[in-house]
Amino acid sequence: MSAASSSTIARVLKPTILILIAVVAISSRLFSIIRFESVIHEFDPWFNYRTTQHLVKNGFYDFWNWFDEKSWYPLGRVVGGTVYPGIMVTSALIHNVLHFFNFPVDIRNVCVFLAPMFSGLTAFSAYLLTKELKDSSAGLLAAAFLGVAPGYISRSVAGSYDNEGIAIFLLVFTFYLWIKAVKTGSAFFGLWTALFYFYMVSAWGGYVFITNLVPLHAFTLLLMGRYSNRLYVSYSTFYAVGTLLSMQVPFVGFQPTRTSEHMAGLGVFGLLQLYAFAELVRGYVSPKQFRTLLKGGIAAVSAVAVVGLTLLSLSGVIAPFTGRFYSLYDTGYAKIHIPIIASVSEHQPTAWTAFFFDLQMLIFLFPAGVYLCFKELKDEHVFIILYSVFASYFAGVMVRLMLTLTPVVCVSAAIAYSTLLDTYLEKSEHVLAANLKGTQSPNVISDTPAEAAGSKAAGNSMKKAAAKTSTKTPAKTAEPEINKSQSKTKRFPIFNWDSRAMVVMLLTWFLFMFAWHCTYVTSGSYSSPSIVLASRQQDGSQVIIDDFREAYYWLRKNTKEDAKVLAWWDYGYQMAGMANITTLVDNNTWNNTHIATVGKAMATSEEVSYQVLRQHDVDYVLILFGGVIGYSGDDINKFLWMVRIAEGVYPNDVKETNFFTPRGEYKVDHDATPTMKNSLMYKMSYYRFAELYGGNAVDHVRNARMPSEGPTLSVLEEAYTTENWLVRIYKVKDLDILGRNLKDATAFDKGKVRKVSALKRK
Amino acid sequence: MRIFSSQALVAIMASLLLTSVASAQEEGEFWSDEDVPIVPQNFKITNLLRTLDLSKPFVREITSAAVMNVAEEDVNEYFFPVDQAYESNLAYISAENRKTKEVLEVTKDPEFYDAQFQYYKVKLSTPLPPNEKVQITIKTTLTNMIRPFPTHVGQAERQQFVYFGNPYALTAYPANKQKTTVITPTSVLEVHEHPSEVDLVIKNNQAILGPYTDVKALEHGIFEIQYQLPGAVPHVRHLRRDIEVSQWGSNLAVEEHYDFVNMGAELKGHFSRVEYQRNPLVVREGNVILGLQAQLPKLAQDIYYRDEIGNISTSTVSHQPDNIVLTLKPRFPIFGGWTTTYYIGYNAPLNEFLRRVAGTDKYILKVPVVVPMKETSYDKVDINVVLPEGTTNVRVVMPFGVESIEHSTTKTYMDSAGRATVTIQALNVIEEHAQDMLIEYELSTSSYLIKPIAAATMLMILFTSSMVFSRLDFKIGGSTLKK
Repeated sequence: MSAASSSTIARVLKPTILILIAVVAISSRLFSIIRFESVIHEFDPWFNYRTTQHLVKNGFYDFWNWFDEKSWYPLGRVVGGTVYPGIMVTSALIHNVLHFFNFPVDIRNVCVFLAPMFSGLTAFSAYLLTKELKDSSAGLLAAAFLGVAPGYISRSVAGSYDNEGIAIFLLVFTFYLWIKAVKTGSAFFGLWTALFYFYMVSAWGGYVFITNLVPLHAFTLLLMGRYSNRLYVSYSTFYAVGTLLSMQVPFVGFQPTRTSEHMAGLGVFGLLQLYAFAELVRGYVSPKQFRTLLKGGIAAVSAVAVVGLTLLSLSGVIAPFTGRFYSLYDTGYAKIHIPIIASVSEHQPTAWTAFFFDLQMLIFLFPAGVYLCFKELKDEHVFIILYSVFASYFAGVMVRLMLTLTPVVCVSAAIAYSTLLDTYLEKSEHVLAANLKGTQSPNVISDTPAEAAGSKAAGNSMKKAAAKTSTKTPAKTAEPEINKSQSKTKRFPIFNWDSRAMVVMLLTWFLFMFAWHCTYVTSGSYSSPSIVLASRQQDGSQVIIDDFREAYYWLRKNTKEDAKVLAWWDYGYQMAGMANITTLVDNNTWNNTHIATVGKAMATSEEVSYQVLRQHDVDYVLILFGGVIGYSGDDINKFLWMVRIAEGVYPNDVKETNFFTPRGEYKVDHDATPTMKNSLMYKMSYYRFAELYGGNAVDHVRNARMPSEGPTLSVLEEAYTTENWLVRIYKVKDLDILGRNLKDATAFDKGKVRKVSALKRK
Repeated sequence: MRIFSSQALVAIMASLLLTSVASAQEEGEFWSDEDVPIVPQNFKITNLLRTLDLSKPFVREITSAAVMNVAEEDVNEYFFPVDQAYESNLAYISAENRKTKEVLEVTKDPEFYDAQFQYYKVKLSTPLPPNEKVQITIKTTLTNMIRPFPTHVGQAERQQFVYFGNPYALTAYPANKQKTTVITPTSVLEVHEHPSEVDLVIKNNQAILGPYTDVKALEHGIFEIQYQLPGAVPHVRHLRRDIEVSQWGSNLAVEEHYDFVNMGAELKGHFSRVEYQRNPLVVREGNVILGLQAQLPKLAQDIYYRDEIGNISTSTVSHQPDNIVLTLKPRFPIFGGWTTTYYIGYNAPLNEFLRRVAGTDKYILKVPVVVPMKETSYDKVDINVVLPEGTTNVRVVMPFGVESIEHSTTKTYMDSAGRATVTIQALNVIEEHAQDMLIEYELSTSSYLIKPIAAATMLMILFTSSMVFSRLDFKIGGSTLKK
């Protein structure tokens, strides 16, 4: 087979494989759509969805200036200035383009399928990135890995319309462009890096990762003595254009010049200018003079920098790190200082098993890949090493940041895997010949395909094709710049067909296991929607518990337009999106005091709470109660967080210790403390619960036998309870028309007369 | 069952009466006995039987009159008056010859109307010679005629309604004898007011008014009945029915958007799930809607049932011999005064509905105007029929009178010219309107090619532009920057 024809085959094969990978990536994210329905399945993305709807309906300028009076009542929220608009603008753009061509696609479907579509693009950018690091066969492997890795799927299944859905694509693609820019030293790629950096900034708060990683890369290269014009051009272009662009996003605004998180970029930018200046000066003065100049210069600059930074920090021009960043450094920090951050499960430190769960065999190949990067250690490999070190740390600190680790794991693992395949699939005679020649690079790969590749890796077409390409890719793909020192290292020629077969078969087996594991995890863990609960009956038929939407739709259709509903912040976005009512707090937890006020309303007695409710114009109170069907994510289980957050602001009204029994237990049954029993949350949860079972009620979440006499309510009345009691909605009573307090009024209505003694006292 | 004190009732009735009298006096001589029919007095009614059926949420009135021609010549037009106040409540009117069961044509007469009455002209199939008799049955259905009383009921209570109307059958001609039978759903009924000439007879679930003799033309009086109506009052405030014809896919896609409300007595206090789950059977008898039944064509497929926030999983499909019954369970039980919105849709094979006129490019589409649910009244129905791209000469034949028929174009999937669209608006629709409309249009064979050509052109443009783009060089100054 001639080189030309095999290159033609490779040219056809590569796009085909990439398209297949994209198809696999997209389709493996569709489990929830196929099993349930095309709808936003998660809680948080309902806000994105709602704003996208607003954007599509009212246009961009109205969206930009949108003051949302339906959230954070009575404060409201300036939506245009407090969101990362990337994902909404992307969806609206796709929607409008489709409509321009008369495709009446519903915006809901655009939103639902956005993340899977972008995962295809992510796989493609992983290919590009890895191709820059090794070769296109490693690139194809990386694309395949990233396409199905559960760590990434967890945030990009269909129906999860979250910022991360497009942000990971942008992250990987920006890194690719950066590496390309550093390699070529082209302002063109630097500019594209900046543009995609801007897109990333507009899409996700995680852009700070790029903001710090790219300068770190530049700085490391500088320390390694690898300063070059390429680095200077690419970094300066990227930083200048990227920062200016990023400041156009209202939510970011002047942060790049004022906050500590962004200072690294500025510092490295300055350093590079100085270094370049020094290089320039070095060319014009004698070495001795230059050394003196350098010493003086460094001393002066560092003095100015240190003094300047300290002064600016102290005077408050540069803001210190925010709480979320502190918690990246010290995992215990949030728990003590900011319970609201700690109360979010995705901000918890990662369990070690999660790494295997999300990445499976990649996590073992990952260090090998990093090691191989060390062996090569070109500019771009330094970047991957830095990326992997930092992403590993962050992923260990916060579950959510597993997402940023996944791409680099896939890339490194692909390098390792592809190197193994290269070693064990090469036709030995050729390697021998190449080694004998001694001049040719070891990266040059056999022209003729190894028979082993086709037969051993059979089964999975994708992998097979990937393996084939790795052997077929001709010399063309090897980097033109060959490090002279490397060409001397000899690669082991593996002659024995049995050892080769064993390794290749084992690797193939790993791939099978990986694909199986990914599908299993995706299907089992990451594709169960949270707005509906599905279970199977004994006969195998599916039962869907749709209580959330039942309650939200009832609120949407049968309460007055401007009804205000008080509920814990977890449900805020969803309620605004599905029930279209006014909420007091939501998942954008910007105002801790307001959240604490809601916590106080839940955690205090009826009298105290009623004041809070009246002060905030509340019409309805909504809670989740899982006691009937055993749904453990209900409000009684979250109650301690409400108490803690409320205590932080209202230490006189709420005390966490009062909710624990003397033995230190958190109880809801007979042993519950009086504070617990009098709290509004307890009363709302168990109101008439015992009656349902004729006085013999058992709370199925906490396995507690409830008292036969349930709590009574006087300031609220039950307005709606869903089929499985999962959502309970209460109406806040108006003030009594006779001026009595509501407790007396309720007692009177029930036919109970106040005690004479009580009357006398008044 | 709650018994209301008669005193309170009398007071309320009295106030009702007063207000209506007052308003009537303002408008004109509503209660005057001087109403004179403006139609030619060609007939005399020898005997008349009227049945007022209140067993459903809307009022069905069946008037069977034996009429005699008292004119000098043959007459073939019989007039039926409808009070202008109820003109908008009149959902449906039909007439037949009682003997022959032959359907007679009824039209709203453009000439004979005054401030008080609108006359409907019933055309006899053969002119009636003088002094001959004929028996005519006129059926009318009126919606929104009853009011819940009391206005609020508990969630397990049965609701009661008040009907307030004319004890006499309204006729344009004097009647020798007439009688009205009122049928209510249960035997719980009370008549509060009626003409005192003849004693009222109440038998089980029937109240018989009359017989009255020598009733003048356009005679009216006061009659009021309060009765129990088990179940709910389903009502659709607005229905949007989209029908899309695709001749390429040989498919008829139908989607119906409902704005639904329970018009019965409002729920007293709040909904209690405990009570509801304890006595489900009792609650079922009260004013609550737990399920709705929609009828779909026999070959309907891909049926869906959704609302603004997604799929509603609680629906069942049962295949009947001549259609499919889709049972829709709303997300929440709909008590009195509660509302919900939802939409359903399905696809059906087009050949069931479309015929080609042999030898021409003409097609005739025959689809139901609407398929209303049982016992449900519809305030406003908008029907959009989207015909294939390239359709010309669209002609619509409606089985009954509608508010408006408009023609426009719609652009959807890959359309360049747009599709001819017919928009029909009908008001006050009930079960009886489940009739077929005919839409005739022309579609030449060449217009079949519009779509493939448009698609091919678009792909062509795409590929050409990518060819040009990939041949352009964007580099500035070549690769001289490399160190």
